[in-house]
Amino acid sequence: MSQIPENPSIEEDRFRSIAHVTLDGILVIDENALVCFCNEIANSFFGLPARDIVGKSIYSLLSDHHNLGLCNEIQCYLSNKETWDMGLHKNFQTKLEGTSLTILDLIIHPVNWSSRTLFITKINNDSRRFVEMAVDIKLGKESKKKNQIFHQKLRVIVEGCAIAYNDSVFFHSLVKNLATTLQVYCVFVSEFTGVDTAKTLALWVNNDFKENIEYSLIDTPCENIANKTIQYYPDNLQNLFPKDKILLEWEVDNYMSLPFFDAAGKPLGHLGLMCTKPLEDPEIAQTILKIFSQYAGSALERKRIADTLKNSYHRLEASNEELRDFVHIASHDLQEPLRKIISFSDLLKWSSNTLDEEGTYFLERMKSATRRLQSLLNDLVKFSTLDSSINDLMDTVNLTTTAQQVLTDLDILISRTNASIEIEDLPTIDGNSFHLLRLFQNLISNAIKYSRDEVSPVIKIFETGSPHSEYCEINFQDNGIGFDEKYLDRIFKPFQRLHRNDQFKGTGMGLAICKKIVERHNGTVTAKSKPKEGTTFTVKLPRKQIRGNTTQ
Amino acid sequence: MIDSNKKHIVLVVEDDADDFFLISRILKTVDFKFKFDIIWVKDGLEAMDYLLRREKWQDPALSPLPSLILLDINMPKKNGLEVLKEIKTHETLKNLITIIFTSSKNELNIVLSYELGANSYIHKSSEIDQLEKKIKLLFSYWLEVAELPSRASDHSS
Repeated sequence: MSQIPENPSIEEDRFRSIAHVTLDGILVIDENALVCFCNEIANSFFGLPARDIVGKSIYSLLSDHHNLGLCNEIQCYLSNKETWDMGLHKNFQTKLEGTSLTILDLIIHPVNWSSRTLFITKINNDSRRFVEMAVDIKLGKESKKKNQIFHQKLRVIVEGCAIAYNDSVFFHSLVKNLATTLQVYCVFVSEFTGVDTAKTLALWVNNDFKENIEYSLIDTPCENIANKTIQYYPDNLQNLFPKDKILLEWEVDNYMSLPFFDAAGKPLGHLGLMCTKPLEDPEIAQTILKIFSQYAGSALERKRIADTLKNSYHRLEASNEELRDFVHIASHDLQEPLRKIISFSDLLKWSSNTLDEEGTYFLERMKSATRRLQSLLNDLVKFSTLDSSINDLMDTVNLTTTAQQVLTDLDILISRTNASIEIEDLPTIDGNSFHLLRLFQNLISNAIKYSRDEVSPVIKIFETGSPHSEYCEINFQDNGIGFDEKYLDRIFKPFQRLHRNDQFKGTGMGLAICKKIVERHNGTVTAKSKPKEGTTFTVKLPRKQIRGNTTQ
Repeated sequence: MIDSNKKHIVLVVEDDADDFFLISRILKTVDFKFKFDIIWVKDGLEAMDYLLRREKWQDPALSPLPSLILLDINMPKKNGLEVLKEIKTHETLKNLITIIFTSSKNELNIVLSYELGANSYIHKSSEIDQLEKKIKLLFSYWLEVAELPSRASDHSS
């Protein structure tokens, strides 16, 4: 940026051509402060033709107007070669008599043209135009200094925003730090709420935060901002947008704004500033706005995602609450009438002499249907409460012990069905011991229940797969009735059954509960089966549970 | 020791008319060695009114102290556990035999009931014959077998 051009004459030519069209007053002086070039604007500033300026010392041009302090500074700068590279930037509020200048902005920096050091001196009352030229002609050290200013401002803003611990705070510290660093009257960051409407996320006006406002983009400098890369009105704002009352109220006349987008390129909002006086350095302002509008875009996108998540979470909480209510209703309120039906049908059977054999049979049917409804409700409650209870207690569970425990519990059933159950060595894993016991119990009692007539159940429980694998595979193999594998999806769903109740009693919840238990342990359950040969259920469970990482 | 002529008063605290019907029917039909008078109060507030002889139970002739209280848990206004606590912390009532009689299988309720001093806990089973057996067994035990210290006899005098 700050290197001296390799071919000075080209650079010099370029400078001259730009100097003639710029709106800055440009003088080129040598190290003795003698003017060797001036453009028309400089002529008009001093009210002198070029011939009366070139060859004169810059001191005489300025001292005529009692700017002795300024002259001293220039002299001091030029006489000390070491400081040349740093350039000189002075802002004077002195009125130059007989000239059109009221505020003098003077910038000097060195260039190396035709093997000699010269000094470009810019005088203007509108630093905005100066920047355009500075960029165009890459004014060596000038750029370096601008760069330094730019980076310094950037650092102040970044540091100011770094304390933001959430997106809302970020938006607020962003507008505040932008406003104070760029020294502007108003900074806002807004999100689009409709095609032509927006709402501020943070608003800074006249050294203070203001309540967020919702506004229409129509007939304001923000109009159509979503389709632009930048919108900049250096002046005359109130005349251009007479319908925008805010401009009038805040007395702002200068506007710059940039839209920002989400990752998919959809416009999200815009970041902008307004001021009462021209921007000190529009280029820096633009670059800084550009950088921070991108920050604002990702912050807003993050905020929206977080809001969506928060909403989903609240909806989920609410539906969990409903589920708990439902479970309570199912476990108590729905059970009560059922209990009465059974009790009174008992009474009816005993006390009535009018019931004939058929009547008694009907009553029995009623009673057994009611009992079935009772057990369906019980299982439904078990199924529904699994979610909330399963992660409560994660423990280290020896599955061999679990399986043996189940055999003890099912003792009567096993001896009645003459079942033979073989348990191989099973691993020890992380899990909820109560629920793993229920899992084993469901799978083993299923294996006993769905046996073939005249064939005693033979059940094997064994581990397959590598003992070093992250997951263990436990198999429950039986020689029962089996099923057609096309029903595989169905058997794990609540209340789904493959058999009539008069063939095999059950609620159809057993395997659904198994599946839920396995999934809450971050595992999977599947089955292989052949009708009339048997079924093997395979449960894959992680040996280690990552605490706090169980899916809910 | 067993006074077979003595009529026992059983106070049934039950908000559900069906359940009251069932229990009173059992008490009437089952062959006990003793006779009952059954008094029905419909919630916990009324139970305390009866026991402390308030409101419509002020006449001691109408509110003899019960030999046994059958106490439901889930009731409006004042639930069974609150009543139980009041009885068991009351100077003259604390020795009354109080049996919790509820459809709740909630373990917490069972534990709480015993902690508060319940003498027994009966689950309202749907099968009448089972219920009958339980009632018969417990009533015989508490009214015939068990001997309790001064059964607030001063109250009934």
